[in-house]
Amino acid sequence: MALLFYSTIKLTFKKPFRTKLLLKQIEFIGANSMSVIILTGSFTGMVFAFQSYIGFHKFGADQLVGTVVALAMARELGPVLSAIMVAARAGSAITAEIGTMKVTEQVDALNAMAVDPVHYLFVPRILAGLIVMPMLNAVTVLCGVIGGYLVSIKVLGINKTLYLDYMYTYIDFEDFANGMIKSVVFGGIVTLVGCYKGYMTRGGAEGVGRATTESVVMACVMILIFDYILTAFMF
Amino acid sequence: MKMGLEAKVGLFVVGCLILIGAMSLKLVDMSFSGGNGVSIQAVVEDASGLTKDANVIFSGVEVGKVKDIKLENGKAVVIMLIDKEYTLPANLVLAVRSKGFLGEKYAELKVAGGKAEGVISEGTTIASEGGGTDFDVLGNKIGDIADDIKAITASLRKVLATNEAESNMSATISNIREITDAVNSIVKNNENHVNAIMYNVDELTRQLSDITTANASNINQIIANINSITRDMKAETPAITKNLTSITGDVNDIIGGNKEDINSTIKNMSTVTAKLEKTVDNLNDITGKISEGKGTIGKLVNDEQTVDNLNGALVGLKDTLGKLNEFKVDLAFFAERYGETDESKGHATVKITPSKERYYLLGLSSHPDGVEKKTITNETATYDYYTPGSSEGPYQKTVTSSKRSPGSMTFTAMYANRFWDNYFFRVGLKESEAGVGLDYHPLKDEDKLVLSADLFDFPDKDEDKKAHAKATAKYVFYKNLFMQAGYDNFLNKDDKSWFVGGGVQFRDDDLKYLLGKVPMPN
Amino acid sequence: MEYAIECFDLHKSFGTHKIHKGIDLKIVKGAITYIIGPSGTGKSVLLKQLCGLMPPTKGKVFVNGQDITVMKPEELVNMRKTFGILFQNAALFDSMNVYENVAFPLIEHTKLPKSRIDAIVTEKLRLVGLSNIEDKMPSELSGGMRKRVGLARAIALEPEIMLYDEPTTGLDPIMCDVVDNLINDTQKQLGITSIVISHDIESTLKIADYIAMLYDGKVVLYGTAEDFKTTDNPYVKQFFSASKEGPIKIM
Repeated sequence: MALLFYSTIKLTFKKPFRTKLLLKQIEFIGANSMSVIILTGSFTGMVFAFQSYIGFHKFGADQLVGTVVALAMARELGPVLSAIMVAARAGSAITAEIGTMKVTEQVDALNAMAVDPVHYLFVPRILAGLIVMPMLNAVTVLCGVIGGYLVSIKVLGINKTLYLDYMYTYIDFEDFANGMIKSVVFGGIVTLVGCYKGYMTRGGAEGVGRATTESVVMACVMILIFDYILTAFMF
Repeated sequence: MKMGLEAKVGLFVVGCLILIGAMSLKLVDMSFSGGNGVSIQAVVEDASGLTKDANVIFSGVEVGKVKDIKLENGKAVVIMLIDKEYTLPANLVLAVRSKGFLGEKYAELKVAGGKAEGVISEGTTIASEGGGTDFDVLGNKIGDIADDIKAITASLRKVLATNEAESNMSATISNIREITDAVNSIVKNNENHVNAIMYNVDELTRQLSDITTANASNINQIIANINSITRDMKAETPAITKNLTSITGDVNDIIGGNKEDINSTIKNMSTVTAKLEKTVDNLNDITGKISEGKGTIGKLVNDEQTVDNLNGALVGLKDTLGKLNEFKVDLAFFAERYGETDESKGHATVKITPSKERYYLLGLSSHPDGVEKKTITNETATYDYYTPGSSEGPYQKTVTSSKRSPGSMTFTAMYANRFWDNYFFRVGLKESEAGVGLDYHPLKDEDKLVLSADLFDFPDKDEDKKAHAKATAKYVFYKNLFMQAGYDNFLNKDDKSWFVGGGVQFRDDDLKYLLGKVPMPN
Repeated sequence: MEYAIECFDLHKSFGTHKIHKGIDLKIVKGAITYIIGPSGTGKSVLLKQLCGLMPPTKGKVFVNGQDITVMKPEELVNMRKTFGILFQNAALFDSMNVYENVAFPLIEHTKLPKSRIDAIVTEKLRLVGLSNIEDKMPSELSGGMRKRVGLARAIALEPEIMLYDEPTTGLDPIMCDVVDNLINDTQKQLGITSIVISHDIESTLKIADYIAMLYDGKVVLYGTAEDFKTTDNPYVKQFFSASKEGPIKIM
């Protein structure tokens, strides 16, 4: 799969550059994922605010809830959750689409027409993944922070000024950038795994179903593993 | 609403970019605000706990950030950046304080002597107040009190030196006696409190030693703290004693001197004496408890069991640490480029070293898809070719033959044992084929340079080739980065090739910790 | 005689399963060659090896005298432009309409202006007997129409060699005849080399210039339609008579 990634990168710079396909994929992976991303982000932020409040309240450090929510969203939950949601929504669809093309010989047809399927199918998707994922991450983080804020201020009654003050004091650009780097990697993983599993599909409709499941599972596992590796590297 | 593809994507991308930009700016603003302002510095005894970007507070207002903490001439120098919107007086003193329940440190600026003078300018070095730790602050406070007492007694002596005071002295003395009685009873009452406190301390110590056993990693810190306490105590004791002596001398003077009407003054003095006595009592009490083996220090000094516990904890800690230290997990990712066969290989390996004597090597190697071995030779091959029903006979054609190695993933699992000084012998699977290898670590820093020879993929009976031999030199040139080069497959004429490569390796401490908990065969 | 494709001693195996055990075959240029044989003898696999979609395990394939088994991936891609392939189920791209499908190879490999592409697409669709379906999606088409669109797409770049993978399977007899005629007409009109995989004996004997029969990973008989009609090869006889009796084992 690393080889596939390597050849994808190599082919990215090879002409022709398929703008239309890339736009289509950005729309599919990115724009159409917005609703689910917004929901996930907000609710995670809200739940996280509740949960961390329980702990911090015992120390009388309620205002730190904002810090913890924002920090967790920016560094960890934002990238991971958005990536997992995209894996479930778009990664599976990529696998199903390419898998179907594979079993119905459409991939062969591409080859037969002297069009490299890696170039035609993978590059736009993986590029779109790399571009879109950090954007979705930013949306997730923002939604999470807003969700956490609303719950903390409106429901839990934490001091608004202190909340924001602590949040800004302890969040650095670095935290946010960290999450962004992660999400770029995750975007690559989700789309690459989606493409790879689709491309390796065998055995008709059943095979497509199996490949789709495998794709989501593999993407999620790899996201978590790479999350660990990246975290270990970046701190 | 129906939107065109371009419009939708454009909206999405532009919206997200604006969002990212806004979020980044907001955060960048927060972390780099006040890039210009007045920079001042202070030399402090101890800057422990204070970090870069810690707040600088003046009268409770955040006026800037700590820009840097350096060590100059063996002293910690704190450089602070004061926002230009604030104008601070010139006679400032720096104190390192802690706030919040997490105890993070900040730098507090105070006006020395309580009266603001002048305006601070760029590059000023201001004084600092004591050390940074709470114990230091406490010590300073005690010193201050002693100074106050000294001042009071000095003024007393001045007052007592008049004749008017003499007549009331006897009354005063009886007052003193009464007061002393009262003080005694107060001290007695207080003693109960002190006892209660001591009991609590006892309890705490017990818990502490429990915690110590369980939580070995904190021991060092605790011991360091204890050291610091004792050092402070030691440092302050002579000062207190000196003060006490001086006070006694003063009292002597009072009694021996003129008797004046100083009732009100005496009252003050009584209070002081009472407090002093209490202090001394407390001190006595503490010392007594220490020698009895009560309290944290006493327990640590006297209690056998604590010592045993501590020893036990230390032994346990040593064992654990020893195991963890010896147990190493190294991850490496590297690639190789084969010059003559125009091939590339990627590798990922995990090296598990349970002890110095052996290690296990697990790895995955990949051969890129579709890269062929460039051993094209033009030859004339005769194909005995006969298609049934065809009228043509055997067929001759010049062909270009070449070997194609399909893309594949191979697996490495080897066991290595040190057999002589710095030689390792490896055996197991190398790139999915049975093989043996030899590693030589010529340098003192064993991991710096490794020379290896491998022999694997032994030919089958009917295979017309020799075993795959490979010689490699690996050199770690910077921290986690290494490069390697060598000659591959030199026993087979067609496939031999030099190669170069490089990659990263890192020792994963977290992984190591996890694995350290797993019992390993020794 | 000039040959478009020659293959020697072609072996192909998937794991331990050997599909081809040494196929020698020559495809005469400008003629229609039918490859017949029972199901599971690897006819489709052979087709994919002939056009470089699948590398053989062993053996050589020459296309226009060039050894494609040693070609680099880029060279292979270029070489494939000489081929037009009609897949078993037409393999139309689901996400594109008929126009986009047929125009796809043109857009990919030529720099023709839009108007020119439009004209070629209409012309190719007319050639396969279809009109006014440019905006339809593949899912809206019948099996026969899909095959014809697939054919239009395959000939859009006017390839030298056309490969048909079971073009008549799954079609009604009338449609079979239409497709047969299409193959014949395409070959006659464009003068291209055609290779057809089929088990439709009737159309084979009707159209084929040359026939090769595959069985058990080998070519059991190669010859003209006339040879096949008169042969006493037991494999061919059994296959043609659709009999259960004979050397061909029923799997």
